[in-house]
Amino acid sequence: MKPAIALLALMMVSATSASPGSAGELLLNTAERAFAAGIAHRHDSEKARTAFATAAAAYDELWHSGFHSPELAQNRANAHRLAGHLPQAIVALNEGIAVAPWSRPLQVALEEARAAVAYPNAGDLATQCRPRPHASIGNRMSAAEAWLIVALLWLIVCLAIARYAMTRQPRWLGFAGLGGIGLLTMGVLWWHDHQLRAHANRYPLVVLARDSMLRRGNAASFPARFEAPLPAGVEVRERAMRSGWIQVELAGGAIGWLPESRVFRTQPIGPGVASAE
Amino acid sequence: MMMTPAPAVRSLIPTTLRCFITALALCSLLRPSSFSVAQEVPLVGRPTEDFYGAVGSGVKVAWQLDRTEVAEDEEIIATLVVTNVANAQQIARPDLKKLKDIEDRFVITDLPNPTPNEAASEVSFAYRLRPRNRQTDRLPTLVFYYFNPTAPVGKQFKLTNTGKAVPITVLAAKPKAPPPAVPLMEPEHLFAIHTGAALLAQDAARSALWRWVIVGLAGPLLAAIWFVAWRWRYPDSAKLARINRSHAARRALAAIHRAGRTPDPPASLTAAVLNYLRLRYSLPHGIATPFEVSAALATAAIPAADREAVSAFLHACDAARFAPTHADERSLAAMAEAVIGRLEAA
Repeated sequence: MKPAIALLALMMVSATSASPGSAGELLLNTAERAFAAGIAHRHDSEKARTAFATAAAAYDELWHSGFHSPELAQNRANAHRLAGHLPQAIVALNEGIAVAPWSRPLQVALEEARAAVAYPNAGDLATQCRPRPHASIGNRMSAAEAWLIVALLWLIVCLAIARYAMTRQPRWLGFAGLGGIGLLTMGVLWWHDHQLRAHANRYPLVVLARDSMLRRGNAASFPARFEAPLPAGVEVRERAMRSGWIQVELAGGAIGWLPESRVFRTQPIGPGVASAE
Repeated sequence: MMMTPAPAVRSLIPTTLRCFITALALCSLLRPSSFSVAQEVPLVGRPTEDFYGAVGSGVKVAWQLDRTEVAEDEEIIATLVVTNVANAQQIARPDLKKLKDIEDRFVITDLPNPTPNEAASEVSFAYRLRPRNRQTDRLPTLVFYYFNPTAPVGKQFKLTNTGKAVPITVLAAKPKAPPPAVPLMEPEHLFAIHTGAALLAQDAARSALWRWVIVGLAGPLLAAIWFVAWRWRYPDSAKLARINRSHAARRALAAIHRAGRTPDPPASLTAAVLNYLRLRYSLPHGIATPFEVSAALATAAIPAADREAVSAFLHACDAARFAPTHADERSLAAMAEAVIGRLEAA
């Protein structure tokens, strides 16, 4: 509530002082001012966290307004981390990676944020709740890079065929074949990436806001699935919802129930997204 | 010889002893020792509450407060003073925490108090009282029973109290000094953010379809442009390319290109063209002279002009091989390519 009020106040100040611009620019200006205030107060964690929370709220607003860039996602995550909101930072990073899965800075930031989650060191819960990153071409190559490579390969194929038509020398067909193989490889890799993402996005990703016991049923009276609670920041997939409880699947495959109020949902983006009804 | 006391002296001893004993008894009545007083408080009729073992006559109790105005989070030092007691050392400290009226209003902490001397007739008990809230308006009356040994039996337990409740004013808590600032200890790289217009990109993942359409069309288009330009710029090469469509022609042209590196280029050129003719028109292997070749080509319905061109080439090659002519191998190779091109175009 406090950051929201501060955000409103900052937006009003920005509206009067900043040069006229779109709502997005106004929000961005607000967020950057709040972030700068947080940095200025970094010697006083209480004041700094309040300012960073205001910045995070503004960045969230920007994101939900439709501005989806990896840089904005990273700013969101940084602001949330500095405000002391680790689960929200993980949400921001996951949403950023859903938009730009190739972004190395986002991947590194997510790994670092996960390292700050109090995962248990040993036992069944430790193996169940740690996320399992999957490697695919989509995590390494951006759409623009893929476009460039495909364009180059296609050009090689076309020009090699043209050259063969000119000279009738079979080696040009060889070049065209190599280009075709390259195109085929790219297609297979990207199809595999699409399949992986579609499979992962069958169920929406949610992040645990607070330490919570995973129950075997949708009520607190059901026995716990594990002896220890799931730590805040754990990423799980939402399979179903019933009476204020959501059925979740851990990275290791274990299924249980959590109170709906204990999780943050991520904005579904990407292939195969579905909402649990 | 044994000395015996005088009779007057003997009569004095019991009298002195009796007087001494009588004096002791009187003293004990007037100023009873603590031991004897404690023993004297009877159990019968003793109050079950608010009796702390005080013995005396006309015992008084009173509250003494260090102040009557106190901030919400501060404390009052309240002292309970008991006077006119005969057993100051034996009086038990009243436990205010058991007195609901006081316990409801204050957080109580007992303070140590010095042990009174044996002859003292007054004893004090100090407490530290912190009001529980701002609605606390008084220190309630404390009820106090004591034992009066001089009173008639059955009326020896007397009741007294501290008088009217002491009014207290609880003020608002003084503003506290802020706690010392704790610096934010987070990784340094978190304090760096991106700025600029790139942050307001709508969707990085949205790949425009038109880009892929451009790529799809650009490749064939560029290739076609290149091909047309090449044909326009090198028409002979285009013709040669058409020739290359025939496997026999390709082999013949390759042999013609290699002929310059052989010991007898005219013979190699002749062999290349004859091989081509044999493969292309299924001519018999035995024919080799220009006349035989021309006749065989006539059988294959080759136009006369083409036949003459072939004959002329073979004659030229023969002349180059056996006569001192000036035809060099380059012109012969060009003639050979022209002959093959002519036949392929037919």
